[in-house]
Amino acid sequence: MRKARTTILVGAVTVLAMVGVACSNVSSSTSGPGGSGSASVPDNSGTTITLAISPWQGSAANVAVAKALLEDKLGYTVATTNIDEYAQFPAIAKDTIDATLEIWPSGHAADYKKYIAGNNGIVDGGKLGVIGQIGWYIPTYMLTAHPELATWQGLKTDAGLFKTAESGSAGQILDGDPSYVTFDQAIADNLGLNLKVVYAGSEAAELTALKTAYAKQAPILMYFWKPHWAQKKYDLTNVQLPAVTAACTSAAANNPSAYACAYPEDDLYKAFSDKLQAKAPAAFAFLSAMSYTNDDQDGIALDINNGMTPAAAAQKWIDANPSVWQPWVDAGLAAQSGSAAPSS
Amino acid sequence: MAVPVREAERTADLNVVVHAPSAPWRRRVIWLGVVVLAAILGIVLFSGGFPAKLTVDAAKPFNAFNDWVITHQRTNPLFVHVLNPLSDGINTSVKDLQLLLSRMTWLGITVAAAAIAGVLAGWRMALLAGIGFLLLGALGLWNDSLITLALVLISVGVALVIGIPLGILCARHPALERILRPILDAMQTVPAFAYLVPLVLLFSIGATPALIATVIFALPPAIRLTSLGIRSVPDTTVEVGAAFGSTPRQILRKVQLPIAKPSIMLGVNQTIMMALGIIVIAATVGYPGLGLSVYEALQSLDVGKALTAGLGIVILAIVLDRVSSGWSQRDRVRRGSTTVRVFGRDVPRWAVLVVAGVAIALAVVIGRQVIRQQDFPDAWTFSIAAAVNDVVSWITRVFGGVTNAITDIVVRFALDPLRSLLLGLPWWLVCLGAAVAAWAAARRIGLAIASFLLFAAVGVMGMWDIAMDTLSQVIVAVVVCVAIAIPLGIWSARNDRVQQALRPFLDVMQTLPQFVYLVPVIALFAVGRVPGVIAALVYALPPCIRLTDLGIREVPADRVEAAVSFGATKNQVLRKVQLPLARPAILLGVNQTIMMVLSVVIIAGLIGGGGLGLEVLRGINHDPGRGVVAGICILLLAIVIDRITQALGQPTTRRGSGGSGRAAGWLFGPSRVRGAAVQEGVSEMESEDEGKELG
Repeated sequence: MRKARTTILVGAVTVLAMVGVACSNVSSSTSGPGGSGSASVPDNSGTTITLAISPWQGSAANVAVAKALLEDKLGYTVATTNIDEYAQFPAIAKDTIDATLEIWPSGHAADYKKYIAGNNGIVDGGKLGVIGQIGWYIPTYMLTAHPELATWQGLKTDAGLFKTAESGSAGQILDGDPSYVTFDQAIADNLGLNLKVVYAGSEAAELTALKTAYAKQAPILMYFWKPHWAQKKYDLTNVQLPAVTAACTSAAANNPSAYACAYPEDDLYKAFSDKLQAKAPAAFAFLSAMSYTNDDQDGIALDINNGMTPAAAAQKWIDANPSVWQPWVDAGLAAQSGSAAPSS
Repeated sequence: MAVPVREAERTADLNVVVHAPSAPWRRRVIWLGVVVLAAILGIVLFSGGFPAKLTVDAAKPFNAFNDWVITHQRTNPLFVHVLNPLSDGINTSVKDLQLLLSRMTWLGITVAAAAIAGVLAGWRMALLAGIGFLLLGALGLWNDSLITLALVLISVGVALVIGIPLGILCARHPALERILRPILDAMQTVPAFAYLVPLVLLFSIGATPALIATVIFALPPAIRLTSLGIRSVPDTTVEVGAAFGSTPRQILRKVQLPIAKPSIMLGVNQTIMMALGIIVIAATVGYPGLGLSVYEALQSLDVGKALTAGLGIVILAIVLDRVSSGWSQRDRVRRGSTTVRVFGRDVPRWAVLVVAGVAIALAVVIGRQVIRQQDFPDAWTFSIAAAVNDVVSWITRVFGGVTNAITDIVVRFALDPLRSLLLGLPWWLVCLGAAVAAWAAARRIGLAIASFLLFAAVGVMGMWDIAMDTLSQVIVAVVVCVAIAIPLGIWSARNDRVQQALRPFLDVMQTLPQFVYLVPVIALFAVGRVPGVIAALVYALPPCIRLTDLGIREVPADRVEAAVSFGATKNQVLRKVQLPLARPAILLGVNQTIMMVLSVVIIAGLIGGGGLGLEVLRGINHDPGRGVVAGICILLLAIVIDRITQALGQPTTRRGSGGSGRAAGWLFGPSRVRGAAVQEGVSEMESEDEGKELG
């Protein structure tokens, strides 16, 4: 067992060396956000607000803006976590995350019911102001040869354009992440369109298919949405489906296979841990008030997509749009002075 | 490449299987006729698929559990007093280790890696480790690599602390081993995506669920190889110990463990590889590092960035693999020695340790006090991302036409007909087919019945059509894989240069996360089942090539010489001597191929392959129970196919102790495989306790 002893020895020596040096104080102190000097900035630096970043650039834009303002104007320490949508609800309910700033209601009806309506640890944080639009999209270049594709009626005659090996004799409508709620097959069937849903399996796979088709100027019909960075990079047209009716809305809830119209607009909302208000009243008030438009978010997301860091892109927007964010900060400051003893 | 342990024993084993009796061709034709006739009758007379009235809602209990957790997690003592503190503790330890690693500075870490590798495995490995870490820094991956390394170190530690004692227990109590076997199969085969939702519900996000998922995936080889190692200690050796009056405890410590050490070390090595294999999945539960970089790059289709981060994982894997296998090898050579050979001279071990310790301490001090820079200097980094993106778009442009044609052909002439066939057959005929295959392969009625029932269970859980879709893809992938791998393996066995040239490619194919090549594969082959098959090929080719190569190389030279002296041509030697003798190894390779193809079903789901993989993914957001059920179906298919193909690899009823498989274990490169060695352990269990059944 000599070997074991030597192994332990190596370990011990190494650990000692590491610990010995790690204890000595060093040059790793990064420059904090402090020193921005504005007299009215409260000191909340002892409180860390953790924000969730969903895996898309719009979400990164929201969080970058909120982080910059929470740190510079309200004095908080802000941490971020990159995390998939599905994991955000349990994580907020467990206070691992304090807030998420962009939830698509169409995809999370069940979560809303369980966590928010059921009072299981999460509160509705109000609208983000950005409106999402899910729909069937084609590259705009297809319209030159097939102008009828601007509306769904064109698909009656043109479904064959979208045939692939996977869809066989029907045209292919490409869906992305299988965990999103979609009615595509029902819409196609109920409108009498010879289309078959093929799942790309992930957003990345769907985007790759778009990119490949675009490079070849080939036909592609896909379930997609706005806002999304790809809408900036590629010129896409939303194929107009029948307008949303009350019948459709009830079908969505009760009998999805009867759904036969466009997707309703998604009024994106925020969600917070139900402990956030007590933990950080100013941050809670600020985040509740936070709201901006598609144009605001798109501009930041585009800068990020063009290679700017989220922080830099957010700062650029902040510098240019004080009138948009000043009310959020004011709400935060009001809550700060409202709560008698600042949290520490 | 490491040397197999017991040369003599292995050779003896191979001799046993020399002339496996093969059925005369006439019998095979009759059998084929029966199968075709049964299939035609089945399709004509009965309706295909699985009747809906026999299915049950298997997802219900899982979803009920999820709902219970959501409503009780804030009050139930299990969460408040056990699980939440546990996750807090794990999160803190991982964070502390990250902090410690980064405080050692880049210089300190690099020197430490080299010094530890040097002490364990010699100066060559020291060089490899040092260069590997510098490369990580130069690729701009320094911080991410340390974060990933912290998770890998801690989860491997946990896996070994659990796995080695369990392995010892298994070796002593075969009953326990039999109970654990299907559980271990499940841990390796059920895709992590299927249980991420429950993990996040129980432990929230961050280091804890990442660590638990990693341990689940990496634990089986530690258990299996420990148990295998101890059980392969010759009985006589143990008896000698007992005769001298040793207690069981003494026998374990002084006899069994030392002799089993190479096998246990291989278990350590495999555990590390598996832990690295799941690092991208860890990103989806909120653990940052190299995995997150890959994952994020994927969202914006940045293949170059994804590949860079993926290469970081490959570098870590190669360094850890070579060092740990070098360690076990060297240990075997110099067991009991107090000296170490350094540059051809014997040096006392303690001196080496002191030098290594001093070097590390010095490097850390210099890094912190003199250079004063924790992270790798930016000025020394370079980026390959842009170049990679250019190459990828060039390839897509040039080959796009050809590859799309291939997709059409494969879908139209292989995938579609096969799927229609499987779906057209009545369910009981497919199950019966599995049972007959099991009987033909193993001549064990228990296995045949179990095969029937497990296939039927897939239908009962309501996944029949989807599972048949997956099965058709698996069959196509395996056929293509074997058709490529066996000729390549033969070529590689005959030509050392080919073997050398292939090795790095095979290493990269096995360790590069599949997420990295997802985008180019889709760009070339269009979304659908074909990219899934391609991804499976990339992952499953290496073991099949390696095992074919190994099997042929292991054929005793005297036999080849004998054949040559009788005037056999090179081709005759291959056909009449080498291939028959290499049969067990090649069949093990086929078995491995199938298991690996099944293990990437989830990846197929991510790139349009549909099937069970897609169901698992679909479950993540709105029906986690269904995801778990789909995962279980993958497991059932895997168990049946695995047991049948393993039985095929044992042409005689008792194949001896599977020597060539054992050798294969050592031959495996950095493999996050349910490695050949692991399987070998399984096949050995199989041959040792006769008449035992599934689970």
